[in-house]
Amino acid sequence: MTPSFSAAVFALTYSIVRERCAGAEEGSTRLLNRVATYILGCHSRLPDFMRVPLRLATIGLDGSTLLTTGRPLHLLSHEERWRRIERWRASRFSPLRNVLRFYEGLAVFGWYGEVHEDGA
Amino acid sequence: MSLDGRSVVITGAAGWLGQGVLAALLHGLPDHPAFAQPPQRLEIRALVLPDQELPGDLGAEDVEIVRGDLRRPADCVRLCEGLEGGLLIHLAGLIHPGRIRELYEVNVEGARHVIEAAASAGFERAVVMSSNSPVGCNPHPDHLFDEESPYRPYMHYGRSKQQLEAVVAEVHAAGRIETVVVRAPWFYGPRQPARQTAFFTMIRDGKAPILGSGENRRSMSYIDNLAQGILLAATVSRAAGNTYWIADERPYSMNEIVDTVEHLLETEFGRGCAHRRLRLPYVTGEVAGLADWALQGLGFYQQKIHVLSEMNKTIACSVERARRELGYDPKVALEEGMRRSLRWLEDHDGLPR
Amino acid sequence: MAPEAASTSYRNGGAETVVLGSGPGGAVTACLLAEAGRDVLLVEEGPSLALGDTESFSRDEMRRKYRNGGVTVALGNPSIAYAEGRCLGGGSEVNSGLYHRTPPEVLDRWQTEFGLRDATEADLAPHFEACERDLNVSLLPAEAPPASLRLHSGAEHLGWRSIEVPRWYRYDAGGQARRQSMTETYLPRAVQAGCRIVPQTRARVIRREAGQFKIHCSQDTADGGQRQAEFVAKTLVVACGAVQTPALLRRSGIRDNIGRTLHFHPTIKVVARFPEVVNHAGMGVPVHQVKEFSPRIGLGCAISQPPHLALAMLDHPEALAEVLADWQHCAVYYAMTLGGAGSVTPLPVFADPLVRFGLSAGDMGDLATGLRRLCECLLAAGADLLFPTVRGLGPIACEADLAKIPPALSPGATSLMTIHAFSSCPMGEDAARTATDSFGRVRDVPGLRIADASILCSPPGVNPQGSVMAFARRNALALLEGRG
Ligand SMILES: Cc1cc2nc3c(=O)[nH]c(=O)nc-3n(C[C@H](O)[C@H](O)[C@H](O)COP(=O)(O)OP(=O)(O)OC[C@H]3O[C@@H](n4cnc5c(N)ncnc54)[C@H](O)[C@@H]3O)c2cc1C
Repeated sequence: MTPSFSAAVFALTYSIVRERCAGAEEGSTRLLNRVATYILGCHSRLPDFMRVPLRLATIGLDGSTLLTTGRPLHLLSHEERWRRIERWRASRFSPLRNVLRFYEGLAVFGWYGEVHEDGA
Repeated sequence: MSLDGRSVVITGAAGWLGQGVLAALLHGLPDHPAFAQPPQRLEIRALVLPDQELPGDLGAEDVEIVRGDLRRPADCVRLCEGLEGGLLIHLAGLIHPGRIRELYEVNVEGARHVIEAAASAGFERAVVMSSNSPVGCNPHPDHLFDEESPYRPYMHYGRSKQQLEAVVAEVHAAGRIETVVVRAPWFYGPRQPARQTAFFTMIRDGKAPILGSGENRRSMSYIDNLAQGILLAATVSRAAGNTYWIADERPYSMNEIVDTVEHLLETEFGRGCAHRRLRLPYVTGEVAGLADWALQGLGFYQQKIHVLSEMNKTIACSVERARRELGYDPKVALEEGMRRSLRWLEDHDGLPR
Repeated sequence: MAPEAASTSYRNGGAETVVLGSGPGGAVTACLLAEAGRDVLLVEEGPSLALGDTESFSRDEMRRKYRNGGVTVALGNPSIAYAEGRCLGGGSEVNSGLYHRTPPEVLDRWQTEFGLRDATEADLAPHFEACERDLNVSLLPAEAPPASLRLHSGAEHLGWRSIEVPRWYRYDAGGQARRQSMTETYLPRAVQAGCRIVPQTRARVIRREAGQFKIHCSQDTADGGQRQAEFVAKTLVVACGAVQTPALLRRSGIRDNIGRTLHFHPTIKVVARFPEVVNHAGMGVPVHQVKEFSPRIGLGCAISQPPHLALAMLDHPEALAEVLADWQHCAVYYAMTLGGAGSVTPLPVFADPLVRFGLSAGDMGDLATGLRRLCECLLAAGADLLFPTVRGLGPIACEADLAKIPPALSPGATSLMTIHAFSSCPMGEDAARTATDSFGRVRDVPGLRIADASILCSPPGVNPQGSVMAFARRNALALLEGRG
């Protein structure tokens, strides 16, 4: 019910990989989870002055749907989440775009890294 | 590895799951080719609490019954004695305890006793039953747990199962016995205990609680699917040292579960249903969770509150690894599983009119 | 403070010479000083890992050998993603090994603009030659990767100059290649000569007291914690790389012309798809570069494994899955420029410095020109579809589409990156614009030297490690000869 950083990262990862990458439908749970864990790890290694702002921004995005839907982003369905993600990444407000780009970049990099390392 | 000619020790044999596994061993599992015929020359020993009985169809003469309690190391030694090369299927565990302390006494220390006893008796492998609770709830509705998901134990039961898995890992690492952990979520199917019947009654009477939208998903395991997973964990050699989620092919939403049972009750079992749900706001689950947490903090356990607190959560796992590595193939899904479950109740006069 | 600490019993607490940072600059310096019999302690922030401990260009390598896991960014409009090594051997452990001498015209400019002395092509030749020998700088013994040859053929088609760039690699009889990174070359030699290496130890701040340096460090402990450590030195050589060196010096109160002139090679990428196969699993480092427009613009081919392709397709999400499904036909290419300038500012409380970078309209024009040239070359090489890392631009499929590239790229839509950072503490005799003299001696701080990419006066326009090593060698020998 309350916004959560790690839940939001998992939810963003699942949505981005599903929409963007091929092969994420069947038999890919372990890879999806590894990508999300990878992104959390990348966040924890970010330059220290960026870590907290990005975390707060992510929690903010997670909580931003509370008013309209009564639920944080991570508890919405994939379709509802993706509508918001699409809107945010096209936003005129560049910091918002950058947050989405951070997750999108790591999600696709991580996904194809996993698929590739798995030799699939 | 085949089960033919093996010695198998089962704990929790008189329980719901224990009976399911015993039935699979004695009568075979028609849904899976490897186990369709019961194994030959099997020697089965079952640990049963002093006040428990095995049902008649699980052939008392085919099973050697050892009466005892996991909490007593000597009972465990007696259970495993003389069965070198044997196989331990450790199913006994406490889900709904009287006092919190008992969770740890049975689920962690009891397990240690019996696994140690098996290792000392020269057993080859131990398959140990765990649950979904060590990893808690999924972070978002379409998420699935896999075997690498980090521990985030749900309350004391979850913590006890996490500690159990740590004990298993420790014994395996010491190289004394191969171990396999099987994690299963809620299971369902024939031979269900009375609390399951109560659930069907609630559905018939329109009192099944639905928290929030009811779209949150639950993995469930039909009892024979789970038995299949356990026998595979016991026999596939590459399983050694691993953990596997065993459940039905896919998770079901709360609504789907209730709707399916309601539909079967009406159309196949002639039970008129009220066609209502006990709709509660989403936060009910959170409030119940708080109450449960507070009670558990004081050392008490209240089953209804505990179950209610989980009703709005998504607890769903992926069985991809078991499929890939064990050849797990869950044939029965929700509707067929519930049908068999209700039929068993009807056959045993357990289905309320 | 105990009086012994200020004495010269260095064994545990320091050395006559302490070198901070074990990248190419620090490794060459430590090696030459140790081999000349100096007492040298080399302090490195990152872990001590062997070359083979990580798979090249993998996520595991980024996690273990890069600073901040490879996710570092210079803030600006547009921001530029940059990467640095953070491990024993620094950038040399993770890079592509492409070698260039500093171009003579660049040396000339450094002389006229920065007053850099004793650094003509002839002055540096012996240093380049020595490094080339030590690192076995050589051409590929076999055929270059297909994606690399494509670029070359496009350039030939257009009559542009394109070369195979030599690399620091050794090849065994079976054709197996081994990069000659610092942990394979100068660092073992340094240890052989008595240099002590202290990894996982980060210099936080340096103080000058009673004619020597005190270096305050934080050290990783085995249990994942941190403990404080302190070293003393008579001579201190800072070689923490172009970003960390100015951060450390500024944090230590040494600020003149330090950290204000950070330069990169701002780089734009293009994913090209070809009708034929140009890529395969484990395809090695591409080696061809188009030099027709040097030094302002350099064209080349980048690491093109599927994850890198995916990252380069970020501005074209709708085509991502399609390109990746066809990845053997695709590769990543780049156009590298010289423009822009940035700064490194340590922040209070935080350990990581703030890096900022600005590009002028002219710089965005150079990037547009670079992009256009690159696309021309790739079309001439037979590519049938090009995706630049510019939002809303492309795909480019034919000559006519090149008109879509604006005269200057829009900062808001362009994604830039770089792996080359330098010039944050330029050397030379012009005191108004340099941080050190022509040999890396920091002005007004006797005994303090800089020996890494920071001292290169301006962007060399070519891969920089060759320049870093040659200047480190030159300056270390000068130190030994008493010219410092
Ligand atoms: C992916 C990649 C590919 C590249 N490809 C090429 C190429 O093909 N050819 C080429 O010529 N160049 C290439 N480069 C650039 C080249 O690696 C650098 O120019 C070179 O490594 C710079 O050397 P340096 O000694 O200045 O600093 P670095 O190599 O950055 O070394 C600095 C070292 O100091 C350590 N350090 C930093 N701060 C502290 C502190 N406070 N205390 C202690 N230690 C500290 C760091 O951990 C690091 O190990 C590439 C770089 C990257 C990242």
